Amino acid sequence: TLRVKILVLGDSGVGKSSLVHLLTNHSELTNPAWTVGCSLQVGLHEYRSELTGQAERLFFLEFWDIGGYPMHKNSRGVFYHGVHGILLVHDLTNRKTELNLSRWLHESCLGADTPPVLVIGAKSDLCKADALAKRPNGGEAAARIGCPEILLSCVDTRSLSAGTTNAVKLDRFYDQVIEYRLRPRASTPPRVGQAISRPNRQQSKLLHGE
Amino acid sequence: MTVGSDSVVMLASMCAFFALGWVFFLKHLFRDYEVRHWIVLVSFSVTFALSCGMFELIIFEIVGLLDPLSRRLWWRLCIFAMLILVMVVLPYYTCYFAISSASFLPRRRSVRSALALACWLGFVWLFWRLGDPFPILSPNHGIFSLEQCIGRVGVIGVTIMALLSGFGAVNYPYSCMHVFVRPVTQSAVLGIERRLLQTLDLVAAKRRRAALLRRDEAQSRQASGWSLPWTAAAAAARRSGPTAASVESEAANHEELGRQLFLELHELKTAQERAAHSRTLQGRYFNLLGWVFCAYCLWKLCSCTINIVFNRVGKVDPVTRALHICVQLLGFRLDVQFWSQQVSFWLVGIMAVTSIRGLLLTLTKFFFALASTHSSNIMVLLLAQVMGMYFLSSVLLMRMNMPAEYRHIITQVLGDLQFHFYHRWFDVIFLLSASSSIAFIWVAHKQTVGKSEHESLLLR
Repeated sequence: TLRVKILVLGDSGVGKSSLVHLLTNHSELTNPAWTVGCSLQVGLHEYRSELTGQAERLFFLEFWDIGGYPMHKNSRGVFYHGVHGILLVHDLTNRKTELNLSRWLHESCLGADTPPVLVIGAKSDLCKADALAKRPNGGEAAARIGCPEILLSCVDTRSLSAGTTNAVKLDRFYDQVIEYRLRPRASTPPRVGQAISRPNRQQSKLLHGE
Repeated sequence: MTVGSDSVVMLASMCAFFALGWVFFLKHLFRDYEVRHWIVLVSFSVTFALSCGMFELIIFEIVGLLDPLSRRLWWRLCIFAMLILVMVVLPYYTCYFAISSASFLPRRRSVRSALALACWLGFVWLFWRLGDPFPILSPNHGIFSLEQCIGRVGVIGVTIMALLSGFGAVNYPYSCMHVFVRPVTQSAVLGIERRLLQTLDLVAAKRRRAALLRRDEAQSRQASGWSLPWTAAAAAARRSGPTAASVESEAANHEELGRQLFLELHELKTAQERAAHSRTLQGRYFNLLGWVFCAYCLWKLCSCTINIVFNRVGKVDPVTRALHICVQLLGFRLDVQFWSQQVSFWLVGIMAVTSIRGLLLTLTKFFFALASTHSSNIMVLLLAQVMGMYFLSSVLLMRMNMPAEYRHIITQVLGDLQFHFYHRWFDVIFLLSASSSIAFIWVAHKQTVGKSEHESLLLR
């Protein structure tokens, strides 16, 4: 089973941890705490490739939920390698968080080509209905980056139930991420000074063998 | 110059300061948040405008601008407005926003206002009791006079000033001087990064396993129609092997380790940046400033100790003393009146500007470190309150630094306070704050030096 790495980025306090909990456990996060560094959660996705017509394959989606403190900016660079998809999260009640999304994208995109991006507007339950109605096809940030947008509330498990537009857009995003992961591309040499982690054989046996 | 035209000048400068506070708030302090309640923005800007106005009035006093009557009138106005802000408006709104953010309390506005009023009355009572043990003023004043309020605000403000000065006087040389810069090797940074990524790999592997186990549990639950948690656990126990919950808790432990590693990495990177900065021109300039500040800090500590031990009360301000030395000991021929005015003007002006700038920088640092989406309003109101008390007390303490002929306006406006008490109190708190900061920073420095030596030994 293959894994894909999806970064979850956004300002501090927008609801990234709640969102990731909703995506992986399909339930509400009852006691959110400040994320320091990176919190890793794993979800499952079944991918059927229309082109090759293969059977469905199960993929592990690793969500790297990175804490948004401005003072930790100098140490976050270690998480940005080998990324296959990016979720940009902003708070619908605070417009400044949406304006900062392009800065987050710029900070995390290290290579020449950008992986698939999806913009998510969180806390829609705290927002007035007319403000939501003004943005049916995505707000400013999504338009500038050129990617779709989902509006949801992380405390409402029905926002992502099967069949809704949100769930369809999310599935399409996952498929794009997996296709980005599977496509053949020239291997890039590691950057100077980049840490290369190779788990030793004993650790691998413990983790994967069982 | 009549009172009318003077008032126009003062109003114009107050409006300018108000606009300055407004812009600072929107563009710098609150740049990551949206302003949802305008009262927060307005009260912060008004506090800032009044504080700058008070300093401006001192400068006018020295230079002799404006009519003395209008100066006195504007002084009284500023002090009165500042007291109302610091004692009534800001605490009430802080209580109101604190109650609004508590989710378990009812949402109706009348209930919230009533609760906020009750909290505010509690605050006023506490504020009053705070001032009882201090010899603030002479006994021939009534209970609710202006001097009582100013006296109490002065105590709190002087305490804050002394704490911040003490800590700042020790911390600034420590952060600027190159002797304290910790050398960090690139290999140490890479080592921590590697360990962090390995830990995250472990967490990912455990969580992958937990995800598969959860899916299996959900499928088996659906297949057999069980929906009760203990039957699912019983089924898992029958199935030999760990449950999703146990693997999840193991992953949580590893994640905690990952968090510690991340914080260590952040420390190392910050130290590395500091070392790189110290090699630049700006870094060398700050190093020099650090040495100057170190000398100032030692001198201030000695003078505070001497003041307290010998119970010395300074009668002569530094300006007059310096001029006295110049004329009598060094033999310069100076027009004392003229030079006293010039030097006071520059001294008070520089002190006012540096104290405003220093306080704004410190408050901004506190705000960025502590504020979040929910607490941003409360934090700003608390900071505005600290700012108001701080500036009111710095006017009080500045009286000491001015020649006698300019002092009397402050004495007149602030009333008959025991000014010597405030200076003594400042010295005591400054000494306490500086010595505990030295102890704290020394311990922290020893710890980090020990840790980096340990790591370099490990890498070798």
